[in-house]
Amino acid sequence: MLVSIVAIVVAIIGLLVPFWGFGCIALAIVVVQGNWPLALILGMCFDILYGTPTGSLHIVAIPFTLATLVSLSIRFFLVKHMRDQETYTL
Amino acid sequence: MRKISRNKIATPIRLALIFCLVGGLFFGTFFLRTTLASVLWRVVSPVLAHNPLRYVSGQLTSKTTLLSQNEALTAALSSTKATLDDRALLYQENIDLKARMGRDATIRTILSGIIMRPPGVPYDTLIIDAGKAQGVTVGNYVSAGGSMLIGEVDEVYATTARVVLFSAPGESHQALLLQTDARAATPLTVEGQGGGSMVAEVPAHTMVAAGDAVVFPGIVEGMLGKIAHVDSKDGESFEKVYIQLPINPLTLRYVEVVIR
Repeated sequence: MLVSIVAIVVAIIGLLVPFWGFGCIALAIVVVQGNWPLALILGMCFDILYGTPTGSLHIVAIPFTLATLVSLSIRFFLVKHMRDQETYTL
Repeated sequence: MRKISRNKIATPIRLALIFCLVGGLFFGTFFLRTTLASVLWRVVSPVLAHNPLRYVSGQLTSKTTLLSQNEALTAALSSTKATLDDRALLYQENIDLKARMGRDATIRTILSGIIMRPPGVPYDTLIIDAGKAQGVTVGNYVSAGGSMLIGEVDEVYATTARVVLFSAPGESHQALLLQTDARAATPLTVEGQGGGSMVAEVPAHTMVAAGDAVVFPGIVEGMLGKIAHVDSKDGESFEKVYIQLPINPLTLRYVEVVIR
């Protein structure tokens, strides 16, 4: 819970300072924590606020949400792999 | 009686919930984007307009630096004011002449403040505090003042709008290169490089030099930028011209939206 609050505060600071990198840090914190609903909501909020990317990257309409999904998947498989390895070792 | 484990029941429900949430998020992001953005910006823009952390980086600058910067800016301002007065006179004369030839070249603009810019946003875009309510529409050009165009309105929300700068990477626009004597004009395709810089190619041996103006074609010629550098190599058919926006868009506080 505390980690989620910290992430939200970091995201708000990113809007106020303003520097979008803080938003990425907030997303990373939530992804590492494994709070996937909050991570997806944050990613979606950034996509809605910042709009679609410009130029050729326009086709990636929701980069923050997609990056969040990819990161969450990587986290999921990493955690699963580590758990499996632990069981095997034991 | 066989006991069904709690986990076995919970898993399909949890999966269904996950599916609904992720599906809802994607649906919202794709199809209700403008509506959601309008709502979000309606909440965020007043906060950003009265943001106490906005000038944090400015307060960290030393007093001596600020004083010298202030002196330099005052000097620059006085010389710019004289040039601006002269320009305003010439611009009015230009509009009058066009009116006498039967063309109305007057433009209507909406002044708006910038509420977010890079590095607040990850792309070469500006978020301005004028939207549908003020009459802004997609495709409106945005100027830094007068005919100095810097970008185009890309998305319009209820009270805010997103402006994509002409210098955004991957953006390309048709323009005219006005040579020093301003009689000849070479058409060129300008491509954004980010951070106020653009690049274009012109045939080799074209009379082009640093300081030449690049404008949009049309009766109301908006200035797109000035040539900053010409890169010509022997034996090549084209030479590269590097263009800079007439003003640094990241230092602006206000912009004008040109209403067609």
